Amino acid sequence: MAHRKKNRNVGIIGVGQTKHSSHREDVNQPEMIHEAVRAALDDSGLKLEDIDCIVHGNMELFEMVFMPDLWHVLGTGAYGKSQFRITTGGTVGATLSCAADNLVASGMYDVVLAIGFEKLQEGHTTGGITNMADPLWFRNLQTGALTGSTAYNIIREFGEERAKKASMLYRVIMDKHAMLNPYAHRAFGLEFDQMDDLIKNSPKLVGDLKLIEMCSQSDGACAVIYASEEKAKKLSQNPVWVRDHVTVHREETFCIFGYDEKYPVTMTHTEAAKRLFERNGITDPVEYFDVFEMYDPASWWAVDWLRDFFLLEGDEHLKLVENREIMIDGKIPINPSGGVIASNPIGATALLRVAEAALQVRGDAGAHQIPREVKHALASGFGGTMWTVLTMLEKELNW
Amino acid sequence: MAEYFGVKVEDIFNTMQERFRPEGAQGVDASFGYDITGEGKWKLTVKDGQMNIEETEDLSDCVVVTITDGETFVGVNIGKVDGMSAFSSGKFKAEGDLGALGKTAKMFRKYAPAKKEMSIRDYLIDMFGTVVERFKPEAAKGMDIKFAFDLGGEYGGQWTVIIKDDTCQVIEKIEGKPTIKLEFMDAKDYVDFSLGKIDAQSLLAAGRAAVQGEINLALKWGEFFEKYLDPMASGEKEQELLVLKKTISVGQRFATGPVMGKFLNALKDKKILGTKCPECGRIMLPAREICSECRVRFSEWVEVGPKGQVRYMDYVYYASPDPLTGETRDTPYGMISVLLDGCKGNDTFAHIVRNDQIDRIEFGWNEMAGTRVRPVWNEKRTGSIFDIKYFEIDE
Amino acid sequence: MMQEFDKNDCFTLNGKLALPYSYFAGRVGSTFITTIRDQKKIMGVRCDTCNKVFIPPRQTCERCFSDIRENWVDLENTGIVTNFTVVRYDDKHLPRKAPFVLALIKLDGADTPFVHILDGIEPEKVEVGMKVEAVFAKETTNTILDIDHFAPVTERVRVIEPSAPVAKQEKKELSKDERDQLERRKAMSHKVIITAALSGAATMKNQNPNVPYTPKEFAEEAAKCYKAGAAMVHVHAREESGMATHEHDKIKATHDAIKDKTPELIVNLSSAVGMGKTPEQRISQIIHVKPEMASLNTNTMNFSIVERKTGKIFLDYVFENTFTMLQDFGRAMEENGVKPEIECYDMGGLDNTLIIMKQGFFTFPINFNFVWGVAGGQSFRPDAFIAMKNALPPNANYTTCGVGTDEFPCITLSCMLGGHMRVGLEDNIRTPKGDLAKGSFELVEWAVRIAEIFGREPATPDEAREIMGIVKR
Repeated sequence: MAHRKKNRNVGIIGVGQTKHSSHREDVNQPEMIHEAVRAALDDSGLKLEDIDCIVHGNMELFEMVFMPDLWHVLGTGAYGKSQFRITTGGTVGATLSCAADNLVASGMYDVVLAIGFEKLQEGHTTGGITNMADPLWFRNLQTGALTGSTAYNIIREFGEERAKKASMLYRVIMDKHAMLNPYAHRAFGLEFDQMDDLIKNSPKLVGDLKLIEMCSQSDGACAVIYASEEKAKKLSQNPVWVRDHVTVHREETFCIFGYDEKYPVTMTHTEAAKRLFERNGITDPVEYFDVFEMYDPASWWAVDWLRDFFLLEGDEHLKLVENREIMIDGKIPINPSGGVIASNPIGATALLRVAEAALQVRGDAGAHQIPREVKHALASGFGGTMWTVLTMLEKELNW
Repeated sequence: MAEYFGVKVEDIFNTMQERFRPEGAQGVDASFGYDITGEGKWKLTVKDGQMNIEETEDLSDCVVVTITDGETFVGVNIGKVDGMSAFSSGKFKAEGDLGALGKTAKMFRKYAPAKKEMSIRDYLIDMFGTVVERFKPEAAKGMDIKFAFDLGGEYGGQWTVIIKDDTCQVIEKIEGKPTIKLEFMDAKDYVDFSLGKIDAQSLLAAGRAAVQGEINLALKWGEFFEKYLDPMASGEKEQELLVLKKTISVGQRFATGPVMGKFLNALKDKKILGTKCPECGRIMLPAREICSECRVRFSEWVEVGPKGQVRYMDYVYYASPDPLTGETRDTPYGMISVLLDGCKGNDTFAHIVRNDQIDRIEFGWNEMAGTRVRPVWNEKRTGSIFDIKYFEIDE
Repeated sequence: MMQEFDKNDCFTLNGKLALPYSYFAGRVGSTFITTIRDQKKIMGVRCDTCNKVFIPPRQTCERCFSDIRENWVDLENTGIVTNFTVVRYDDKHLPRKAPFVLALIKLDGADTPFVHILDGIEPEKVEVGMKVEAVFAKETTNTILDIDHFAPVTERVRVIEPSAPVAKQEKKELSKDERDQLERRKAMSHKVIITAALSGAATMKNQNPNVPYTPKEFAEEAAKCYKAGAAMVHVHAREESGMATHEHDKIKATHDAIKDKTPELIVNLSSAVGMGKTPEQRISQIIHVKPEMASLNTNTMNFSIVERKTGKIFLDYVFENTFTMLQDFGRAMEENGVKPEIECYDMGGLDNTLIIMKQGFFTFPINFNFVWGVAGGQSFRPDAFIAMKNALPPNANYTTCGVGTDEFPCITLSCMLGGHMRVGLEDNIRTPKGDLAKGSFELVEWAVRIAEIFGREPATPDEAREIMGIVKR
């Protein structure tokens, strides 16, 4: 598949987010969104009238609000403007980014504001997710986004001790990153020497997936402003260029747990990574990228997916974790923001990956800025029954 | 000098300098007089973003003189007395330029009474000391509960709150078998939790707290007791923030279509039918018209099972709501992926396993077979997923 | 091999979606609801940039994106129905059993209407423009239903009978007579009341020799105006010297002379009289003469003589009309069966009236006159006119007059919008062509032409009484 961008280049010129937290009784939905929108406008130095179009999204059924885009106008600023609503499950934030990028690249709009939000405290996450499954069949069985299957896989392949340690090590590293990010929801101050204790004592959710390893349930919002190359150069000192993005979906059934290697199903992470790297001429992604903001719903999945996204083999992904190469000062820092395990307002989560990646490229991430130059960034989104979005950001317009 | 609301009139004037906001005094060049009955007279002079306060009898060159009593003056300053009503009722008078008086409001930050520090231990004593007065007997009618608190760390201790016969009692130890036991590794976490500074889930996730016993009752604490109010919180009452709690419930109607329809109808006859992809050969369960991997229509119906082997089971500890009722499901339960006889690869069939057999299930992979299971059919079958009650071990 | 489908395999299954959720109202929303709950008070927020008061309140103005969360404004518990719908089907999600009325209600003090239930009235009788008030719920739900519903406030806007003590009837609805009266008024919407302001206090014969001074001159001029199409004359009686007078006898003589010659005409006396009169002098003559109508001034203001071209001040005068005077004069007029004509020289005067009106002594309909071009009041601007028209309370009439060249533009707009017209030498001494008018009657003739253009007919005095709610003497 050919390079996607045909018409014009697109740059990210503004990023805003709320402090993510377990509950925000002090604001209603549009008010919370407004905080992120205001922050993005302030970050970019733009005024509302500079925005041509707004794309707005979150998870369906999570807050039990119908047409939230309509009554969120008070917070989004869409009054009298074009607005699109996007809702693609867990990937929604990433799809918001893709949509905003497409709307600008196509020439339809010059400046587009993408807004993702969630107030998970207002709804029931798992209850909402069960509704994505076939109502005649799987809805009645489904456990939401929780499954212990990945843990089971890794344990089966690498043995219980190594697997559990890798997962918990990843978890503690994310917490160390979250401690550096003032916007992060959960930052416990975990230490490496607590790992054994946590492996033993953290309550179990499903199989070997423990509460501490699962992403948080957060209230929060994120807003990102995209502009055409011409406008971006005019309006911003340091636009971050959206080089490419790719989306791979798969069917909605859950028939993937046969564990028979002779009959593989489409693994969307690997598929997305292959397509993206191939058409952009990237042969060694671990070398090429300076940071990866990964949608990591749980530490088990994160560890497993490193192999998928970076097209690694054998236990290379485990070694990246075990050697702490994924830490902020490592070879390939993963989620210096603390990632999804730290903050997960779902509709905003995947957009936050792009936003945080952009901040790293700009060098504006503050305390969690990677201590060396960031030129190439990768961000992922994940949702549904293994649906994947990957987005590439660049510092220079030189590809 | 007398104290009003725990504050002396002097305190207000003595702290003016530190509460002064030069940005609020821009362009002000005037003197303001305060005549506090029985307390004294003060003169505030503001010029060029600077201020001076002095106690003096001479208020002649003030643009406006505030005349009031000590109680009203302190009350208005610390927010205990509404300024407008004091003004309307004549308790608070101003002579001179009333407009100028308004300017003084912007010049100072609000007076905050000096606070005594409260230690973690002080908090614990206060929290458990006020449990009885915060108890709501009408909410706990007929309850017989012992809440035990085991708080660790330097300042920790043990308490039991006993609810019985619509009364409440607190003892400073844990004895007998409590209905619920709350354990906090560090008492400070309990204090922060009670003050709303940290949420329970975070503490549980980090292994800093644990709950034993009837967890559902633990969640009812908030119904049985009024919220603990931080005595250190400012005099202003924390705003009441409304949370509306509802359950949305709508009827739905689903059309099966011919393929799902045939699959469900077959269940009535205790048959499990799958559809086969002509290209990759996979058997789709439940039956589907199109193989999404190969993007072709199925070629034939195939009867499979009904027995098979477990390839994977999700051991679910987490209670989620049943979307059909909104009620929380019982845990734990086991959700299995069964490879029915006649299927191969990933063509698994999802269902649940008999609850008392969860711990005996072994998963299979590649050539290694998992636990053999068979469906247990419902007597009355309607063409739904519940025509199979569950799978059980085929012994 | 393609499989054929059997339609007999298709069936439907009933399902249900039941999910718990909560909604955080936030600080702004919580303040709104708890104030309704605890204080029975409805609040909105104002955007100073857009000059709009929003209800329900919000943290940001959607138009200019300003943060307005602190700009609380108290609204009245009363408002106007701006639109409504009758819900005629039952559904478990609806707040009431059908049929019930959902109305858009613009609360007094708000700029945006909001939806609520309108109850206490048959759906067929709901009208756009009707006045309603909040009825608060006995038990709280911490939602907007802490206002249980809105109900009509017909009992408040009851007509006080001008003569005979008023029986205190608790009327929930209008009586048949009142309904008929409203119907008749509606049927007369194409009628336009033309008033001739014959003299004023300051137009002198040296400006236009046709200004009447004596009772006889007033009577003759009034008769000519009546013939030309006027239904009412507005009168400031004069002494022989031409000075405005407050003397009861002279005023009564002038009033009676007009009525003797043309009994049909409505005579509207000034309660301003002229410069330098005391409040007592101003109102006592009205009580003495008891005309059918009298002017009631609403605002203390400059009422001066200036040269507009140069800005030079010839005479600086403060025309005093305090709230107390507005209240006392208004009450005295109503108590004596004199219908007030409420003179508004700007929006402030109208707002003053809306405040005093709350005391409830004004009988409906209330009749307003928008006055333009007084040095001290506002000059005629169409948008200001429309703003004032829009600010009128329900069940009100309005006429208008303008000083000098403001006269014809303002009455034209009024006529076009459905209001009434006042012309005359008090306001303007020249015809639209620029010639000195031969009398107020010639200006009335011009007004009639304007009415003709807009397809409106001059109202007869009796029709004017019906429209303005005046009882004939």
